[in-house]
Amino acid sequence: MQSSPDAVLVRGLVKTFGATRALDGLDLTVRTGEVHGFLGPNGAGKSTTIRILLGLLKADAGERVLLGGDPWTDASRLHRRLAYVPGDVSLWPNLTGGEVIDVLGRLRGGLDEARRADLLARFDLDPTKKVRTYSKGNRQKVALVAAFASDVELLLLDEPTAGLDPLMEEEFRECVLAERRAGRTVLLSSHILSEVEALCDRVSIIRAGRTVETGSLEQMRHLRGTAVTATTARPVAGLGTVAGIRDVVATDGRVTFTVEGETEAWDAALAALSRAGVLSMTSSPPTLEDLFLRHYGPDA
Amino acid sequence: MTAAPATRSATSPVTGGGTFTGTRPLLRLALRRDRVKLPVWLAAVAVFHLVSARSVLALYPEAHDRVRLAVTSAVSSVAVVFNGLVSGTSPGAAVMSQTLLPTTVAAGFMNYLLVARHTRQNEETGRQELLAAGVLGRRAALTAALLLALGADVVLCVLNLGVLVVAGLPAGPALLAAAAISVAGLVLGAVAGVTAQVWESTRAAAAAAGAVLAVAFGLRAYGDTAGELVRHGTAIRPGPGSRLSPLGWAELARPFDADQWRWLLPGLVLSMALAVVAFALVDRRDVGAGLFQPRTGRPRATAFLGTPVGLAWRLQRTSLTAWAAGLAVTGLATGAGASQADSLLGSSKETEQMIRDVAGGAGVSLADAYVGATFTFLGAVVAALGLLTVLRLHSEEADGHAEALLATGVGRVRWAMATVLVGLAAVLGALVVCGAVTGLAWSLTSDVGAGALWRVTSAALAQAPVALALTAFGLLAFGLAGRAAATVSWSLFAACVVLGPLGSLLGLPAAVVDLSPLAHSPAAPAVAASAGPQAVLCLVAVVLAGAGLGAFRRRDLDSR
Repeated sequence: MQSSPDAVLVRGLVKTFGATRALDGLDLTVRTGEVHGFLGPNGAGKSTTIRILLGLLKADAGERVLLGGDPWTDASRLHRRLAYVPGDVSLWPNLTGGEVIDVLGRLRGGLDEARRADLLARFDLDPTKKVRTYSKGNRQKVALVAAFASDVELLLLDEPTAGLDPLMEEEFRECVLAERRAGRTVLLSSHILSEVEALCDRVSIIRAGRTVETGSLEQMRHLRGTAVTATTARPVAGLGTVAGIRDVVATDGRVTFTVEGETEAWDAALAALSRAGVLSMTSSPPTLEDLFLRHYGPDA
Repeated sequence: MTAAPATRSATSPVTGGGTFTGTRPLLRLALRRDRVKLPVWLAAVAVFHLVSARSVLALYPEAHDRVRLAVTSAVSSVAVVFNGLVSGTSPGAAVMSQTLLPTTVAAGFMNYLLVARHTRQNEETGRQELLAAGVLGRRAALTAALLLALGADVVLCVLNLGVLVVAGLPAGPALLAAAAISVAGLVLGAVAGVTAQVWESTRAAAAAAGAVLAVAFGLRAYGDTAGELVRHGTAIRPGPGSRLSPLGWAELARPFDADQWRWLLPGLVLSMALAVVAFALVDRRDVGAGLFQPRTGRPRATAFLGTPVGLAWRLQRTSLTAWAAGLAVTGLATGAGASQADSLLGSSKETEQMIRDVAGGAGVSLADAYVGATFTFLGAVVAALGLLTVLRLHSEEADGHAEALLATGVGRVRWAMATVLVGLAAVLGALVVCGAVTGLAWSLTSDVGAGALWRVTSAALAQAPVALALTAFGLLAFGLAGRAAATVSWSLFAACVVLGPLGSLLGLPAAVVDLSPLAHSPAAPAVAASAGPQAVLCLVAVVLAGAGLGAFRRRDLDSR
């Protein structure tokens, strides 16, 4: 079972709550050792998928393998090899943060003491305060310290940075990168695109319980193409007919278009622009925002 | 001042931006939130009052019956501590000697829980922040909560008045009794208005108000028992303790006897004074803050806390300790009562008959019958404790705490079993505490000897099977019903209480009463518990618990 190259393998996952079909044939593959971004708007089914992977919910249909085991029947055995951070952390109000970290760590099978101390300092968390008195961000830190201080193979992080300030978000990113360097696998569910862009090797985008796209960011950028905006001395001619160039819009000496093709398309585009006399030009790779808008925007 | 501009400037407040602005919508919101809880509280108090009043009037129909009731109640310190002051021999006074104190305490509970719920709880959960960011005066939340309490007390007053009149008592004194109950309740509501400003957590604020209620109870218990018997022993003139207690003030009004309306005043004045203090605190403090800095705690968990059982115990140890203390006090009273049983109960044939009806035949000593009758009620009380303890599983799931734990290496059954073990220990521990203290108090206050300790403790433990069977039903509900577990369990429990211990008082047919497991609580030590039914109840407990855990293993976790 250890030889399985994928930490998470999900095929055709279906889950219904009454009349609501929360997951509708979702696919997800997380390779061992990668940081995998799990993107989708609120209600797309990210948390439901993670809860099924944790054995908290039972799937109605579909294949699911977690660390080589069945997430429902082998739940507690598998959980010793993973750590989970929910997006909305709810903890016991009358325990201190330090106690909660220890409880969660020990029930998982142990904590790395040095890492625990380092993480408390890093996240600037006072472990003697009762959970009741923590802000949402501090509660989130408790869960993050408990997760990162445990020696596990897989981290399931469900929108883990909700409530963290930018400095702490930066600490979080460094922790995730350190996990990747240590060879651990991370599934990071998020709707913060910059976070996913900065951290993830591959991304799965889901909507309404289905996976709409999965792959590396490079592959998706390739699919999407590069957006070019130029102002020229004379009108640009001949772009509309080039294969690999689309969405050409020309107005008052300003032209925007998208290059999707390879070398020939770029050659043709730059030639046409030079003929028109370039005054200024910008070209930008698509951000994840663009990918997101393409899948979830009004014309999707 | 120039005329106000037609449009609002950025700096001028919205019209009506006083400190009470928004009270009305908040009051409506509070009514909406409490649309079930509050009517249930009110109805429960009224029904208890009606049932009790009728049974007292039926048990003591003649003047000489009521004289004996008054005299025996007044000399029994146990009766005085738990039933309150004795004030004369009229039918109404006889009812009051049994119902005034319990209903007053219930009104106090209702009020302080209500006020804490609608003040500090909103702040603790962050709801108040959202509301306060709207057009809301600083005092609106407290005002709405106190007005709701006042409204509830007025309704309670009308209900109690109706109940007493329906039971056949004169309306004037009935109004005094009802008003005295409601005024005492209002005082506790105002107390919670203050404690809610002082403590940051709802639990602490409510506990502080509860402590005030306990002190008020203790003060009047001390005052009432330290008082002197007057009017040939049919009334008590209490000591000073009772004059210092809001519960004592209700007793001192002496409805259906001296009708002292002026004893309504201290409660009204104190309520207003407390409200003034609460408002002054609201004006000075930050939203969400208390007057006490919350204490810090251990930075590391103890080794025990890092286990499922350790965590389950930690989450419930405070309330379980309080239960144990309460049951120890009950044991003290029961043991002392047993020593006096022959002299006190024997003088009232009706009471003796009632005790013997519950706890079996004429062959046993009256003291044993008295202890046995008390212990059959103990079974119901401890069943409630067991249910409360295992239903923590349900609230842990609903609060999302279970999700964090079940994502660790702890499996579902192991997680649930930890709380089941704590529940089992709670039930058995509570029975041992109550039984042992009863036996100890009995052997110390009479010549029954040290043997009573063991005999009474094992008699108390005879209640374990019935309590555990009901507790296990809570597990079944948790496993099957998920979100509805608490509602289902407590409804069944209420049905069992109504059918069982109260059923015979209500005159229900025996076949119906027998449906309740509580109707089969053995009246040990008066009647030996028979092994057969006990074994069946234990088996039922095991089967229900196993079925509940099995169902929980198979279902989805209730995610928020």
